[in-house]
Amino acid sequence: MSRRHDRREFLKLMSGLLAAGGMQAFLPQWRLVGQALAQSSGGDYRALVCVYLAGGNDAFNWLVPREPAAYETYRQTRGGVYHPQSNPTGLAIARDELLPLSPVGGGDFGLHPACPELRGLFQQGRLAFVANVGALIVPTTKAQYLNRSVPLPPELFSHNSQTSFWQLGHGDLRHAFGWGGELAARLPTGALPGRLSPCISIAGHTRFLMGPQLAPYQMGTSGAVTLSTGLPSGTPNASAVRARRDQAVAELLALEYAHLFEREYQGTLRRAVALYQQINDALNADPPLATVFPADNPLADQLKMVARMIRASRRPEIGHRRQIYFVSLGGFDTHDAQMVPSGQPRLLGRLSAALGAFQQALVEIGAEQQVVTFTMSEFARTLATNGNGTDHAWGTVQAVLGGPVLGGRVYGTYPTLDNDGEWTLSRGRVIPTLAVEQMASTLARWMGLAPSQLGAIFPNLRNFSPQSLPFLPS
Amino acid sequence: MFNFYEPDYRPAGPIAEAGLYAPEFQIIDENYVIRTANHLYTRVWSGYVGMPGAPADRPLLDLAPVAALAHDPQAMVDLLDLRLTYGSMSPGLRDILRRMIAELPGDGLTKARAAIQIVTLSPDFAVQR
Repeated sequence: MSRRHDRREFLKLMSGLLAAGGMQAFLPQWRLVGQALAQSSGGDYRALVCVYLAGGNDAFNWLVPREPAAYETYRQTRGGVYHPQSNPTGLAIARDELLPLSPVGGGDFGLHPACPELRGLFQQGRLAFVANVGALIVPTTKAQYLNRSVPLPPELFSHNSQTSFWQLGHGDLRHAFGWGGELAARLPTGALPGRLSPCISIAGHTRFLMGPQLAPYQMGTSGAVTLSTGLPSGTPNASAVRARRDQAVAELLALEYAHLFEREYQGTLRRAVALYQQINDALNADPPLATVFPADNPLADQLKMVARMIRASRRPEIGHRRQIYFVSLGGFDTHDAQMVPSGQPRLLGRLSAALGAFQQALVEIGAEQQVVTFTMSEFARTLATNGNGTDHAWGTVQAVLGGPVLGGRVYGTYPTLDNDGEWTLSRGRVIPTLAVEQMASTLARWMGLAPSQLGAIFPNLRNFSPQSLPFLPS
Repeated sequence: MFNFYEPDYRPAGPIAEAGLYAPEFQIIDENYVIRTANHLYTRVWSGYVGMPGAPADRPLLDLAPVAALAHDPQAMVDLLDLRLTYGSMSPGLRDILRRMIAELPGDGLTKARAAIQIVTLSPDFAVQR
C-alpha cells in the first residue's frame, strides 16, 4: 500500500468537499489557507526554543567555579572528587577535568567535561549562562526564608509545583496558562484562529505553551502524524474501498456534537486533519538537512524536527513570524547513581551534542540570528550528597544560546557553593538571587512583547530589579 | 508525585469558553487523536482471529461476528454500538456507518474493518458519557 498516495486521495476528497462548500461548515480555518498562502514571514521571523531538563538538573555540576578558593569550597561541600572506588559518595568533578571557560569581563569557570559543544558555543560568544535563577515572589534572604517573613513560592522542592512555577513564571499554580502561551497570545503576529498554533511542542503536553484561546500544536519527531488509510495488500477494489471509507471519515468530521467533551474531541480531530497535510507538505518541500544530528539522542531527534519546522514555517505556506517551541529531555532527577557514566554525564553529553547540532542546523537554514534557545529545569540539587546522588533544591543555572545572545558571559551572581552559608540552606540548597520572571521577561521582550504588557504575564516582575537581563538586546 | 493530571487543566475551546475544567484532555491533542485511531486500526488488520500467521503472544480481535453481518448494515451497526460505544452511538454516526457498510465494495471483513476504524476515530468512542 502507499500511505502517501492514500493520504493525497483523502485530502483530494476533502478539497472536493471544500469546493462544494461542505468543508467550510465544519472547518472554518480552511478558508484561511488561501490567506496563509499569501503571507510570508520574510526576514521578520523570531523563535524561542525551550529545552526543558525534566527532573531538576544538578546545574552546579554543569557550570562549576574554577577560581581556586571557590573551587575548594565546591569540592568540600560536594564531599570531595567522585571516584568509583575511593570516593563513590563524592560529587565533585576534578578541577583539571572541567572544560575551562574564559568569560568576557573576567571570572573563572569550568563546564562539565561531557559538554564540549557548549564550551565551543560559549567561547564563540553564542552561549551565556544565567546564574542562580529560581522561583521567587520577591527578593528573599535566608533570614526571610527561615522566618517566612516574605511570600514564598508554594511547595518549594517539589517537582510538579516547581515545574509549574518555571512554566508559569509565577506562583499562582492554579493559572491555566504558561508564560510561553501567554506571550504568544500577546504578540502582534500571534495566533490566528484555525491556523497552525505559534506554539509547537515536540515533547507532548506542556502547560508552558497553553495560552488564552491558544493550545500548542503537538507533533512527533518525524513530523505531523497522519491518519492511516492503508489496506492489507491484496484487498480487492482497494481504491474504491478507500474512497468510500474516506467519505465516511469526512462525514464523521462534519458531525456536530452537543456534549462538551465530544465537541472538544471533535475539534481536536478536525484541527489534526486540516493541519497535518499542510505541515507535512511544507516539511517535505525542503531537502533533508545536511547537518548531522547525533544518534541515540532523544533530544537531538526533537531539535532536528524543530530546525525542520523553523525552515518550513518561514515559507509562505505557513508564514509564521513568531513561534515558541518546547522540547524536553528527562532523567535529571538523579537521586541515585548521578556520577556514573550513565547518570548525569550521559544526560549532559546528550544535551551538549544536541544543542551543538541544532545551532549548526540553524546556521545551515539561515536562521541563526532569528532563534534563541534556552534551558529550563525545575530546580538544581542539594550540593551535599545523599550517598549516591542528590536531592531537590532551589536556585539553579540555565543556559541561553543563539546568534542574538550576548554570549561568553555568566549573568547574575554565581553563588558561593557552601552548605548552610549566607545564601545556602541546609544540605547545600541555594537560595536564588534572580527570579524566573527576570529571565523569562528578557526572552519575552526579545520576541517583541511591549514593555507595558510585561506585567500581565509576569505579575511579580515589578518586585525585581533589573526587570530584564542584558543577555539579549531589548 | 508523578502521573496524575492537573485538576485545573482547561483546553482552549468549548470547555474553556464554558468556564469549565477538563483534566482528562491533558492527554488529548492533534497528535494523540490520530495516533490512537491509527493504533486501533492497525489492530484490526494485524491482530485478528484467523489472520495468516496470527501472533500467539497477544489477545486477538474476533472480527468474524461483525463480518458475518455484512448483509445487514443495521445489524452490524447495532453490534458495533453495543461492543464499542455501549449502546450510546449518536444517530449521525449510525447513519454514516449504515450507508458506508451498504455501499463499500468489499467482503464482510473489509466492511467490518472500515466500520471499526470510523467508530474508533469518533468522539462517540473516545468520550464515555
